[in-house]
Amino acid sequence: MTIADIGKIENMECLQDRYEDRDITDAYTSDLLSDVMANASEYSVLITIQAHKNTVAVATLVGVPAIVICNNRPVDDDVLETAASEGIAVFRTAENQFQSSLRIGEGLKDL
Amino acid sequence: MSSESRGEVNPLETSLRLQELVYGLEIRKVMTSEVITVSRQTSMREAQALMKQNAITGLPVTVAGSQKVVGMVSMNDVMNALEKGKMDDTVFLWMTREVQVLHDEMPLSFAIAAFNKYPFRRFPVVDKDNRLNGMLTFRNINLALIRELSQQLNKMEHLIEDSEEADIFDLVKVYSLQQHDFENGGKASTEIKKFLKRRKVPSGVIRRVAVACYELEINLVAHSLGGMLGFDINPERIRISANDLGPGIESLELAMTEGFSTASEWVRSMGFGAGMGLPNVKKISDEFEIHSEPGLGTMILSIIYLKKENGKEGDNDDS
Amino acid sequence: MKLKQIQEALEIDSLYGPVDCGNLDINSVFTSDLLSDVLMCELENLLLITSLTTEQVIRSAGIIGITAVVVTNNKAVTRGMIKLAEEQDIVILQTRFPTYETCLRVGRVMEAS
Repeated sequence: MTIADIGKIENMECLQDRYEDRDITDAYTSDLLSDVMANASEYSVLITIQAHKNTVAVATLVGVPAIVICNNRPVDDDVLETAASEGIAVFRTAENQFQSSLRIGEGLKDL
Repeated sequence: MSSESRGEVNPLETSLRLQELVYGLEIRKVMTSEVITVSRQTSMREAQALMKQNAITGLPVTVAGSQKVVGMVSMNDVMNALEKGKMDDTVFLWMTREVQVLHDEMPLSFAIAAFNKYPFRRFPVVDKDNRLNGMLTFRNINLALIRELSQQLNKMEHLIEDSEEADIFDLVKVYSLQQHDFENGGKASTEIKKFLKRRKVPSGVIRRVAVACYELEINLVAHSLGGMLGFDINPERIRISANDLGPGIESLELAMTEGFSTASEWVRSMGFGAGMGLPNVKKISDEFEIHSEPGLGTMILSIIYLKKENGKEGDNDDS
Repeated sequence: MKLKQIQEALEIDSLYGPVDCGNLDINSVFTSDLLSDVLMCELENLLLITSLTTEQVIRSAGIIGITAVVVTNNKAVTRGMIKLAEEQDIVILQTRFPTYETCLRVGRVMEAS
């Protein structure tokens, strides 16, 4: 599964598309940035509700190339700008973290 | 289960309840409306005479016509002028120009915070057009307290004992919350939930009340310097009020925006501060009010109707 | 699905709840580490998956009547949480899996039943 494939998932909208497409190998679901920082692995997609500038900062530090924002949570322009400057893809869905995890799980299963 | 009941008179409970009642009053209901003012051209001698005649220690200086407050002249200023032999100067030369005014629609809790924060003993009260509308001193607050106290005493005398009886629906209760006391934040909500459950309130309504209450409770613990959460329940509706003594909200518009939060990473790491608390409370309330003033405090009021026809949609009545 | 199916799928190390809680019905699942979101969730017979380990998680769960809480990432369940959970008839399960994997495993059980 590549970053671009995330955008093909039903109800998924791409908010920030200035990224270099590459393979995603894992996923990490969390709304606690300290936890993401400590435990998420590189090249994972982050599934979260935190549409916060710090989310992008943590993603950058850990090497997470894509973020999925759940529950249609509003995302500020400055969050997207920061993500664009770091080349991190940002997607958004109306589904919650549980449903989104299952969707991403299906995608990762058949790579 | 719990041994608490309204029949027993719990002194702490009563004083909290009083505080909450008084905190929630609008300043204009407590202030002195008839204000003696002086103009900028008034002499210090005249000002002194006015103070003496009326037994007051300070006068607001206003601009004739617009009624805008430009200063305060106090007994202290008079004494300074007297010492220098300048009693024929205008008050404009001696008055204090940094005036802290209070708005007449603010809750009294803000005024109490102002008394703690500033050295002034009396505050001019202005209306929404900034025109002088009254004066507030500690005496006004004491009088309000005494008035509420006697009303409470009256009520207590006529109280029917034991609200543990499931058919007695009226409850007035106030909880005091300390800053960052996450340990106890949430206890009030759990108790109120139990109270409503015993009275067979539809579960959808209970859930809304419990959630609103919990968010307000956590809000006090996480963001305020401490405050009070009050409940006033009757068969018609539940009124939840949260009063704190600071620090106040800079922008109410932002505070009510989903996703906006000033929470620290520490608060976030405990699962709070996603910026959904206040918008959620508003969403589930039938009536919602918020007042805040930076430096003075915040007051939030949430009312939820118990009679279904008046309430919000989506109550799943599965009790 | 039954709680015991979830328990098996998650290879649960510790469970805090009554002996017969495996028979509890779970009809919906919600994953979040933000309590405001949990509070707005209106699902019934709910399983909450979270990596939070504060007493407030259990309080929030009690407020909206959650059946069971899965604590992920092998995080320590505190004595205070267990006590509150007992008071409010909430089961706590502790798993070593991260939240994402927990979701997938619970998702599989859900699909099968």
